[in-house]
Parts: sequence; C-alpha cells; structure tokens
Amino acid sequence: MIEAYLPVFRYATPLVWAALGETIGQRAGVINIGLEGMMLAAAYAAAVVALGPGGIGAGLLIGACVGLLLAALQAAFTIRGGHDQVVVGTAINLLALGITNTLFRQQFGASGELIRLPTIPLWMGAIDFVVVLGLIAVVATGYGLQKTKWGLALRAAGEYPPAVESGGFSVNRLRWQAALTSGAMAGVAGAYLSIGVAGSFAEGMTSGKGFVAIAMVTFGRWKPAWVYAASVFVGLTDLLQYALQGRSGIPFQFLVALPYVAALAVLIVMGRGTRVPAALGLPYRKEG
Amino acid sequence: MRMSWGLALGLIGFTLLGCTGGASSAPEANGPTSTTASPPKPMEGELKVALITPGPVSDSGWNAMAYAGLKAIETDLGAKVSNQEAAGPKISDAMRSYAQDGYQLVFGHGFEYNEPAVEVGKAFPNTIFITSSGGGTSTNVGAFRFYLEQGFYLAGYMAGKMSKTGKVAMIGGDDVPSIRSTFKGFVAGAKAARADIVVIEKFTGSGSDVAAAKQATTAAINEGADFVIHQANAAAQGVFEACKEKKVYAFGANLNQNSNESGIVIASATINAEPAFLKIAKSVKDGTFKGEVVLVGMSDGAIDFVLNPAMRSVIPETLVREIEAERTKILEGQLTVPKDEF
Amino acid sequence: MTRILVTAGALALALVVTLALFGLPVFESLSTIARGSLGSEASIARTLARTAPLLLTGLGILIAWRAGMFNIGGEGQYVVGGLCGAWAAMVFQGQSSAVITLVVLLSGVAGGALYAGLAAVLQVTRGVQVVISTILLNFIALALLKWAVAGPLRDPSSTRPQSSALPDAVMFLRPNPQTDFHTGIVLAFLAVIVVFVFLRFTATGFRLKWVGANPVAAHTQRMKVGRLQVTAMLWSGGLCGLAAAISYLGLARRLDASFTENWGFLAIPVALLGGLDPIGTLVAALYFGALFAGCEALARETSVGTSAVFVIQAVAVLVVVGLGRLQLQSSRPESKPAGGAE
Repeated sequence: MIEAYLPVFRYATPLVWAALGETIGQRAGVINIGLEGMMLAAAYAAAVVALGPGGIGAGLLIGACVGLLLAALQAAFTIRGGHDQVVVGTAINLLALGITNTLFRQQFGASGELIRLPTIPLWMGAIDFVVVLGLIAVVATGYGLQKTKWGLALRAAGEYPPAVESGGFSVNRLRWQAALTSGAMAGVAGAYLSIGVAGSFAEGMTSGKGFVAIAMVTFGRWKPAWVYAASVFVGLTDLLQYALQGRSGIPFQFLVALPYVAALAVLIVMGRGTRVPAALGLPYRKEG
Repeated sequence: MRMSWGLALGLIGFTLLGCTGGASSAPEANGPTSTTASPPKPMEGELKVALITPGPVSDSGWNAMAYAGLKAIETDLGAKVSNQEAAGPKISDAMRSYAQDGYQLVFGHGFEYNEPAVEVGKAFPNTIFITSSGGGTSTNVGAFRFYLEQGFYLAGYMAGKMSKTGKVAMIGGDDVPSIRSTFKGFVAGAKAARADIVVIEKFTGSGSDVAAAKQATTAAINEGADFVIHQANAAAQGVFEACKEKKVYAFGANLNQNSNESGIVIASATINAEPAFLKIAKSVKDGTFKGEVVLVGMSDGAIDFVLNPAMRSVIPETLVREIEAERTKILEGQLTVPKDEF
Repeated sequence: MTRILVTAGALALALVVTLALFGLPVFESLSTIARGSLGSEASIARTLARTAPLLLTGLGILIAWRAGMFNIGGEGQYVVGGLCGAWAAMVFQGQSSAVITLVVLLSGVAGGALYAGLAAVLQVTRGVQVVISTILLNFIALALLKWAVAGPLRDPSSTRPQSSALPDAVMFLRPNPQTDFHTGIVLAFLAVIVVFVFLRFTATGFRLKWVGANPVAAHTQRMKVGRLQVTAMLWSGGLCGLAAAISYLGLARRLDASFTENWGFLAIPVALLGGLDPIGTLVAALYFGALFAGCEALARETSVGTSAVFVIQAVAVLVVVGLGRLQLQSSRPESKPAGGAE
C-alpha cells in the first residue's frame, strides 16, 4: 500500500523545489513569474549535460546554474532597474520557451530517437537524494526565514522595506539574494524534472508546472511547510487522477483540474486571513 | 503616446529592412505596397512537396514518422521539401500558402486537415492535397490512412499471451480518435489471445508531458498491468522509464523503439510511412494521381510488428510462431482488425 | 525624437539579433518575414488575422493592468469566451444565421467577462490576488475546454473531440476566400476606438487609471475602488472573450483542444510594449501580428519556425524595458523609505 503512495514525493519534488524558491522570493517581495521558463531552460540544459561525461551530478548543477543565470537577468531588470516583475517574468518565460524549442530541434530534431537520460539511484524504489534534499530544504527554509536575523530582514523586505534599511540591511541586496536563491531552486526543479522524474526531455515538458508552483506558494500561504504540503497534495491528486481514470465515471479532465480548484477554494476560504507580503511585486528605491 | 510613435517607427524600420533584403534576394517580393496575390508559377520539372503537422516533427512519434516520409521524397525523388506546424484556425492559411508558392503536393498529417483540404483544394486545382485519414476527396484531394491497428493487434495478442497478471495497459497522450482506434486494435488482439484479459487505459492529455506519462504508466502498473503499449509521442520515454522501474515490458509504437536504452521494449508496432509517401509523390509526378482514400496496411509494407531480437530469449518459440500465424491471417485477409472510421 | 528612434531601433535590433543568434541568414530571413507578412494580399490578410486576437486580448490586458489588476488570465478568459460562444451556437441552432452570429459574439463577451469578473470579485471581497487566481483559472479553463469538446459540445457526427462546424452563413464574411481576411477583424480595430474613448473620455475610464496609480489615494478620494477594479476586469475579460468569439466565427469554425493558441499570454508583452495605451497596443499588435505571420513563412523555409517569435518578443520587451521606455512602474505604487509615502 505504502509503496503505491511513496512515488508521490518524487513526482512532487520538482514542484517542491520551485515553490520553495518562489516562497523565499515572494517573502522578500519578489514575485518570480519567470519560474516556468527557468524550469524549462534548466530541464533542457540539465538533460544535455547529463548525457555528457559529467552525468547526473553535472546535469543538476548546470540546471541550477541556468536557473540562477536567468534569475540574475530577471533581477537585473526588476531589482536593479526597478522594472515591473510580472512584465520581466513574462519575457523570461517566452525567452526560455523559444530558445529551448529551437535548440532542441537543431540538436535532436532529426534523429527521431527518444532521449534517455542516466537515472538517479533510488531507495525503496521511490526515493532519491534530491527528494531528501528537498525535505531538508523545507526545514532549512523554514528555519532560515523564521529564526535567523537574515530571515527576519528578508521578510521585512517583503513587508515593509523602509524598516529594513534602518536595521542596517540593504533591501535590494536581500532581494538579490532571494531572487538568486529562487532561480537556483527553480533550476534544480527543472533539472530534476528531466533527469530525476521523466528521464527524458521533450519540448515544453514543464507543461505549466512553474505556474502551478506559483499557485502552490499562495496555497501554502508563504509558509515552507505548508508549501511543501500543497505541492505533495498536487502530486497526490495527480496520482488519484490516474488511478481513478477508467475506474470511475468522472471525466478525467475534472480530476486534472482538481488541484487548481482546491487551491482556489483554499484561497477563498482563507480569504483576508492570507498573509500576502505587503510589498510583493513592488520595486524599491532609496530616496536621494 | 511617445511610446506608440516609437513603435510605429519600429514597424516602418522593420518593413524597410525587410524590403531591402527582399529586393536583393527575392525579386518576386513586391513589398508592402503590393495588394495582388500573384502565385509564382510552379518551377517546371521541380517537384515541391510540403508537410503540415499538428506538432513538432521532433516528437519521435506521429509527426516524426511523417517527416521521415517527407525526407524520403526529398532524397529519392530529388524534390524540394518543406514542413510547417499548423493547427486549428491556422491550417487553411498554411495550405493556401504552400499552394500559392507553387507546391504541387501538400500533406496534412491528421484527420483535422481533411475538411480544410477539400475547401482549399477547390481553389488550387494544380496542387494535390493528401491528409492522413479523413473521408473527403476530390480530383485533387485524397487521404491515406495508416492501418496501425494491425500492428497494435499483434502487440495486444503477444501481451495477452505473455501476461502473467492477466492485465495489460495502454497509455495515451492526447485523447484523439486516431489513438483510440489503435487502442481498439490492441484490445482486440489481447482478447483474441486471452478472453478474460483486462485492458487498462490511461490518458495524460499531453503529448509532451513526460512526467505525466510516467505517472500514468506507474498507475497502470500498480493496478497490475505487466505489459504496456503507448501512444504518447514525445512523452513516450516516460512510459518506458516507468516500465523499467517496475520491471515490466513495454511495446514501442509508431517508430521502431526496440533499441530504446531502457532495455524493456520487447517489440514495436511500427508505421513505415516512406513507401506510402513516395508512392503518392510519384503518382503526382507522373500525373497518375487519383483522389481517393487509401488504406495502407501490413500488405503494403507500411505497418509492421517487429520483435526485439535482443529479447528473443524471453519470448517463447511457440508464441513467435503463433504471432506469425496471426500475421499471415491479417496479410491474407482472413482476419480484419477492427478500427474506427474517422 | 531621439528616444523614439532608440525604441524603434531597439525593436529592429531585437529582431536582427535573434535571427543571428539562431544562425539564420539575417537579410534573407528578413525578406522572408516581410514577404510572409506584407508581400501579398494573402500575406497582409494573414498579418491582420494574427493581429486581431493579439489586439483584442492586448486591449483587455491593458485595461485590467491600468487599474492595477494583474490579469494574466487572458488565456482562460479567451477559452471560456469561446466555450460560451460554441454553446450559444448549439442552443440557438436553427435560428436565422444573423441571430446566431450576434448571439455567439455576445456570449463570448459575456463568458470572458464573467470569468474575469469572478477573479476580480475574489480579490475585492476575499483578498485573493488576481495575479494568482487567474493562473489557477487558466488551468481550470483548459480542463473545461478539453472536457466540453469531448462531452457536451461534441459534434455527434465526428469521432474527434470537437464541436460542430458553424455553417458558412453564420461565419464572418470573407470578401476574398483565398485569404484569411474576414469582417470580424474590422470589429477588433473598432474595439481600439471604443477602448480609447472609454479610457479617455468617460469618468469610469479616468478613475480606473487613478485606481491603478494609487489605490490608497483613490480610496481616500472616496472612489469605490473595488467596484472600479471589478469593472476593469469585466472589460478585460469581455475583450478576451470577444477575441475568442471572433476567432471562432472568423477562422476556427469549430472548437477543439487546439482552439487556444496562447493569444492570452502572447498579448501581455503586446500590451506592455504598447505602453498600456490603446493606440500603442494597436501598433504593437500590428508589429507582432506581422512578425507572427512572417515567421510562419520563415518556418516553411527553415527549421526554426515560430519559436523564434517568442524570443523576439522576449528580447524586445527586455530591451524596451531596459531602456526605460516602459513607464509602467510610474503608474504603480512604490515602496519608499519612511516618509516617502503620500
């Protein structure tokens, strides 16, 4: 029985990493709409690198670097330039989609062969080290945000930036740190999606998972443990969806929509109780 | 408002740039002032063939198979070939564009191209339109339909005979009739081999979400399936990975996927589109084309069921002979594999 | 003046750089793009046909964003608009064709508006941010589309999951059936005037901008902020729904899973590059409509295809944003050090 449910954690892990990164970003006031693009670009880069001599280790690392790089590009515009985060994020998504499609076609398009990537060794047939690291990352993020001085400053940067400066921190430095962490984690998410979960790459394989992750941050109400639970919940509904398909009269499209309906329902019920970082999405400029 | 003027100038700048280039390399481009559509005359002697696909030709499946057919026309007949993705509202325009550019043969790779082909075909009598399935024909519109159900039937038969659990599975990407119809063939084969076989069917709704394909396959295996066939195109590796993790066998589909590195593909139900594409291209070249719906199956060499030679040790010799007997029945017309009309 | 030239140059540069990055011969590619977008009557029609949905969804995006509602659910509103249109066409079957056309248009607008209105009401009454809820609603709309065309809206005579084909009389008139130009495209351009007048000359339109620029101040000015935001979203969704209805009545004729062509997403950079201004959005939509049309021609001649447009869009947005030509941030509240607040 447990064996049937254990894989949920693995399928949820790309979402976990992406959503945790997004949580850190949003807590600092940075909404990363480019998550989907970062994941897709990282998934592609990781797949290409994993096929080389470096294997999965190099693949995951490069994936994280690609996420980091795109996040740096995004932050240069949004944090340094003070430009709108949703706008720049949208551009990042388009950029990643266009580039991965094109490169993939140029590199693999004509071969007609499916790509098979080296696999990550599994424990109990369902868990690997990235899944475990994901769990550690949840704890670390929770601790870092709640218990450290840095976390307090970071949250303040998302709530009431002026207070941060008077506390001796730099809002934009904190936001840079949050954005880069978020990007690197999105990179891990994408790399793990292609290497760890799928074992392959296909054009547009993220299929909106980046947007799902953004939704899960809200669903988990910006708390790492709850964000983790929300991501696992999506994995669980997916699992149920496939298990129920063909065995119940419910059209499977409804089951596909279930996590989003549930997330929306939670948001509606939580209503105003939801603690949205007050300065989310707003650029910060020091006066003078 | 400043912004919009900037954009206006950008647009003009882009147009000017484009026209300069156009004048130097393509004299027939008249630039933005031209309002008349004057289709360039087809070049005498040169065969121009186009393929319109619903998805990327890098999908290692349905679209890749047609692309291989197109490439065969290029190499064997020396034709100029081109391909474009177009779906939904963009189909008619893509077809007209090729016809206007003097392409004598345009393939639309799917049922959904048939209606537009008949309509566009009326206006371009010098271009022949072929769609993969679909019933509408005219003097310059035809269709061929790959009888992949035959290959799926043999796969189902083999799965039915070899399954220890009495359960086998089919994993689909998009829920479309062509896929459902091949699954019908698989079910028929499985039932023929073993009347009480249970056939599990799962769709992911996506031909590119590899993780979803893997998850759906895992669900089917958890229900007890020990043989899995797929119609997941680019996401198929997810099916194979799930099978490898759960140590069950899979069938390749569309292309011969026996050598897939997962090492669990026991046989493949394949389409070899090249002869069919070549045959039509030749008939267009010779002027012998007839607008009709052609069913291309095993007897034409277009559909095959190929056992993986590396797996022969796990396939009982008696079963190999039984499969060959079924194949002979199909080839000699004693057995008609069910298929949907679409 | 120099600033305008810089913007124009930046857009041209984005195009050239992208082409060069993809290893395409720049001048040849530009000439292909120019020919495919403006080189003939059919090309111009193609450009206009791609412009119309970009323009309408772009206008929708700009109204919402101006009011500080970050609607990224244009895609979902487009899909729901199309679904309502198809449903209306089914219900009103047998009525005179003019009635059906009108009802489909109105239902499309109503469907899109209500779907966006839902997100707006959730933000205003329950504090669920539009930027999050519309992401979720996009996924739900897509699932609805796939279900509806396979279920209640399905054409009973087809094995393919798609709605019934609209009869010619219901469809918008195509003066030259050899091109994609249809009378519905004119409606899209008329919508620019309507939106322009609404934003410039009505009290509500004026207040919308106020709300977006400074919700706190607007509140203290005793403006009914929530109501204005809902109004903005109704307009926004209505325009996206209209885009869908026009696409359905103009070219698509049927709904299927490929009905969504991502216009809702692609229109976001269009509205932004248009400076969230109706006229600017018109120019940007024309530019990108031409680019999409031209890149379809490019796709026929190279393997790069329309993916390049995404990159060009992205680079153009980043370049224009980087040059500070996008003054969006000035219309939004900003976190300032203590004392900086109004």
